[in-house]
Amino acid sequence: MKKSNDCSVRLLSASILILVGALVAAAPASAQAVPSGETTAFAGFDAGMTCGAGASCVTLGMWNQTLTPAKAGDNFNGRTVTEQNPVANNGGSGNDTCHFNGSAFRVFDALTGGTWTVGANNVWGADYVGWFLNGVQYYRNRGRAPCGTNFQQRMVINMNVGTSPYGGNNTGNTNTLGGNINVRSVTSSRSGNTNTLNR
Amino acid sequence: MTNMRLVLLTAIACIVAIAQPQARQPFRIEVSDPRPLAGAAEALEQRFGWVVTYEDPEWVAGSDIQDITETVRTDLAGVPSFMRSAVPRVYVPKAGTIHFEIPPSAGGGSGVDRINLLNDLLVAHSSAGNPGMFRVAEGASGRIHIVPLAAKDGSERVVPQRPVLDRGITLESRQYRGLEFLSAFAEAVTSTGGVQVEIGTTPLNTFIHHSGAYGASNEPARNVLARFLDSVGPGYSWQLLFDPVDRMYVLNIHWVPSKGGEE
Repeated sequence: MKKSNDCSVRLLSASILILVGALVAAAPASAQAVPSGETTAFAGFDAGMTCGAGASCVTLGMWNQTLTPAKAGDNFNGRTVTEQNPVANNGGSGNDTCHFNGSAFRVFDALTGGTWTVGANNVWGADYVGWFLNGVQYYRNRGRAPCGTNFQQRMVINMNVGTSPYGGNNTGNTNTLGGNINVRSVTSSRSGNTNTLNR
Repeated sequence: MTNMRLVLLTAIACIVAIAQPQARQPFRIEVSDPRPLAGAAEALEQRFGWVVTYEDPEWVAGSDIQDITETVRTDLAGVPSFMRSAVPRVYVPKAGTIHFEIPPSAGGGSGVDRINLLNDLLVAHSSAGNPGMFRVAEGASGRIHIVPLAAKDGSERVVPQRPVLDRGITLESRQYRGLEFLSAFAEAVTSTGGVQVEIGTTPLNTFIHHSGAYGASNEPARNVLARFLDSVGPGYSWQLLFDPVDRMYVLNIHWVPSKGGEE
C-alpha cells in the first residue's frame, strides 16, 4: 500500500515537472539586452581605503568594467551584474601558493559572489582583487614570497527572470583573477591585465 | 507485437531501476591536519550544508605546536646551515587525525541530532589524543559552534580557555560598510581580550560593497558576528584560527552552499 502511494506521489511530481517545463518553454523570449562582453580598466590600488575605514585594503587592486553593447544603443544602466564561481559546489577554481598546511589564513582560491549595479556609460565596479595587507605581511614573514593566487570568475547580468552569462574568455565569461605577493611588491590581475604596487 | 511489448516492458523496467533511490552510504570523515576539528567542520558543511563554525584555543604549549620552518619557508635556499637557526621559525598547531563515521540518516536531522552528532565528533577528537578540548554550542540561524574549552598553557598544564568570542563587546550604533564593520569588530574583540584579532580570508567583494546599520552594547562577540553575517545573507560561517608565532587570532569567513536540508 505504501509503495503504491510512493508511486502515485512520484507520478504526480513528474507530471508537475513536465507541466512546468512546458509552460517555461512556451513563455516568450525576454527582450532584455545582454552585453556581448566587457572591457576592464585598472582604477588604482585602494590607497584611499574606500573598502572601509580601518580595513587593510591598501594592497587591493580596483578594477572598473565597461559592458560592451551587443547592438548600438543597448543601455545596461541600473541592471546588476554578479560574479559566480564557475566550479560546481563552490569549489576552489584556482591555486593559492602562499597557503600552507596549518596557516592561520584559510586558503584563498575562489570567489563567492559580489554583486554590482551598472552605472552610467555601462560601467560597473570596482571589482577588488588581491590580498589584504595583513595577509601580505603574514606570508612574507613566513618566507612564502614570492607566491600568489589565481582563480576563475564568471560574470552574469540580471534578466527579467534569472540571470544570463555574457562575454567570452576574459571578457565576462570566464575571467581569470589573481594577486601575487612578492618580497617588496604586490600585484593585482584581472582578465589578462596586471598592475604592481611597491609595498 | 510481442517483441514490441517486450521492448516496452524492458524500457519501463530500466526506468524504474534507475528511479530507485541508491542505497545510502555512511559518510566517513578522515582528516589529518594541524586542526583536524576545523577540517571535520568543513567536511560537514560541504556534505550537508550545515554551518559549523570553529574557534581555536590559544596554542601556547610547546607540546601542542610543531616547527614546520624547513618545509614552509621557500627563502632558505642559499642560507648556510649554521645560519638557519637565526631564521624566524614557523610554528603551527601539532597535527592530529580524526576518523569519524556518520550514519546515512543523519544528514537531515534536527538541531538536537546535529548537536549530538557533533558531540560524538568531539569524543572521536579527544579519543585520538589530539591537542585541545572543545565543546559544541547551538547558535542563531541554525549555526553550530565548535568552541575551545581547555588547552595546555606555557607550562604544559591543561587550563580552561575562555573563548575570545564569548567576550562582551560594545560597538557604536551607526551605518557601517561591511569590511569597516568587520575591522571595528576585530578591534573591539582585541580590546577586550588582550589577544590580537585580525581579518583573514573573506568573501572580499561581498563585504566591501555591503553596508548596514549595526551596533552592540556589551554583547557576546559571537552573537554580534552572527547577526552581522545573517544580515549579509544566509550560510556564512567562520573559522577563528590562532597563530602560535604572532600569538594572534585570524578571523576567516566563508560561505556554505545550502543543501536544502537533504542528503
